[in-house]
Amino acid sequence: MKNFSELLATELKLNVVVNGVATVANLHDNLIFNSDDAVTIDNIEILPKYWHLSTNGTLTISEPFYNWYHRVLGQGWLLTPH
Amino acid sequence: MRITNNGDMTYCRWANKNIVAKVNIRDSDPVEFFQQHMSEIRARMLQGEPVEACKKCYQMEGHNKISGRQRQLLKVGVRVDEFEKTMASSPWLDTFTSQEFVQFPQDWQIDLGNYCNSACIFCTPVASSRLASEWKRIGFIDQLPRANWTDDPVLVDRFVAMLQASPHIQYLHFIGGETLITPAFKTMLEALIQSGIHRTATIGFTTNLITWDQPTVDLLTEFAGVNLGMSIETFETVNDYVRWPATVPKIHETLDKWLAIAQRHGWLMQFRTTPTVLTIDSLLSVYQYAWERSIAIESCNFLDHPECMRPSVLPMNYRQPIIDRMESWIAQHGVDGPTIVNSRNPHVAQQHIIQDLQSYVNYLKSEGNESFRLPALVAYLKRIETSRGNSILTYLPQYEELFRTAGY
Repeated sequence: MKNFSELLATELKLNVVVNGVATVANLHDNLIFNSDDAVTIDNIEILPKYWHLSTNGTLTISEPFYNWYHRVLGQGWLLTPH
Repeated sequence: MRITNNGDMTYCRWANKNIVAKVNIRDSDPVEFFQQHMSEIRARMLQGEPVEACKKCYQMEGHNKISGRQRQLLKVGVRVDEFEKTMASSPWLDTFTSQEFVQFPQDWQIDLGNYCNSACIFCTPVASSRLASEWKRIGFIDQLPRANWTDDPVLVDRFVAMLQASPHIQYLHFIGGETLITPAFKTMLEALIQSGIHRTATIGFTTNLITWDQPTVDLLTEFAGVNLGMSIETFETVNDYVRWPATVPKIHETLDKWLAIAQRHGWLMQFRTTPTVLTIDSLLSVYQYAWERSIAIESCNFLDHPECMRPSVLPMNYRQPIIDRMESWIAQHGVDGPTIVNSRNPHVAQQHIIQDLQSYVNYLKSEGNESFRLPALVAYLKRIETSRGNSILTYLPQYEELFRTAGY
């Protein structure tokens, strides 16, 4: 990728592995996992590492994954347009 | 966005202000600058062009030091190590692709002017009134710098009105000179409190650790968040020479007061360092102090100007003992972990301290030998010492041979 136009033209996916089974998801998809599963996204451990963020046996990521990951990693402010 | 001491507005607090396009607040409204004048730099970045004014950040990243570019990108959710996916996920994607840019700045660095009671050896007249007076007296300059933009109450009022009209202000970082002796600092804090911005905004400021102003401190306690930046180079006595006329005992006295109030109000604390050829040898003392108290350390960049004070002016044989000490300290304190970009996360302060120190090891090992600049360094020190009546050899006797061979 050399510039922003190329970025916009590229279909980027999340590589999701649940209990050893690989799938893909869109960057902006809502993601729901059973909190007992072993989950990685783009080789980043999600479960069991973030098991404590699950409720009623489910871990729900209801915003773009990398925005969620920004927050759980303590990356500071995530500014939004106003 | 940044407004510099003379009122020039630039697109980034880290960009080389000598080569960037800039417009003065006397000639243009800050929002107009943000929305219209900055469109050219935005377009160049979106085209993927390397930007010459961002060179200092590229240099930092080359030594695995977290750069300003990385820090700022992180605020919109973008990580350099996962650029495509994080950019495509950013809440700003639609704004970046929009034909019409109507946003207001949410994050500012506000350079208040050059009023300063310090005259640090690496500083310049545009950032220190005390140094400016000294330089004029000893003939380094003929004229004092252009007046500070904050000396004009009309400009301050215009700037405050812009902040008050902004839909959202996240962060305002103030620097001087010395913030606490600059009248406009207090004026702006009062205006932000009166307009309610203090309830949501975080204030950052840098202070020189020899100044205290209780009324300003009281105003700061009103804000939702405060990032306290405390300038120091080392806890060894060479700090007295470099940050003249500060003394280490006075710095400890002031530092203790800041630590107490910062802890009481939950402020984020940072040491702000500017490592030079004169202080890189004892820089570790700041890291030790900071590590013991989980205080973050941040430097804007690897010092570029004055060129003769870059740490790379030290010959390799003088660098090696420093590298050895730093590596030994890192080995004693370090733990492996992911790269920390958000240096303002207090929970990982110690890990970040180690990561940051490692960047100086990388720098000292790989940055080219610039010892040919030693005569220029010695010539400058000798002239400034005639004004101050001191001698670098009192503080750095281990460099006597090095400096003597360069003309000291």
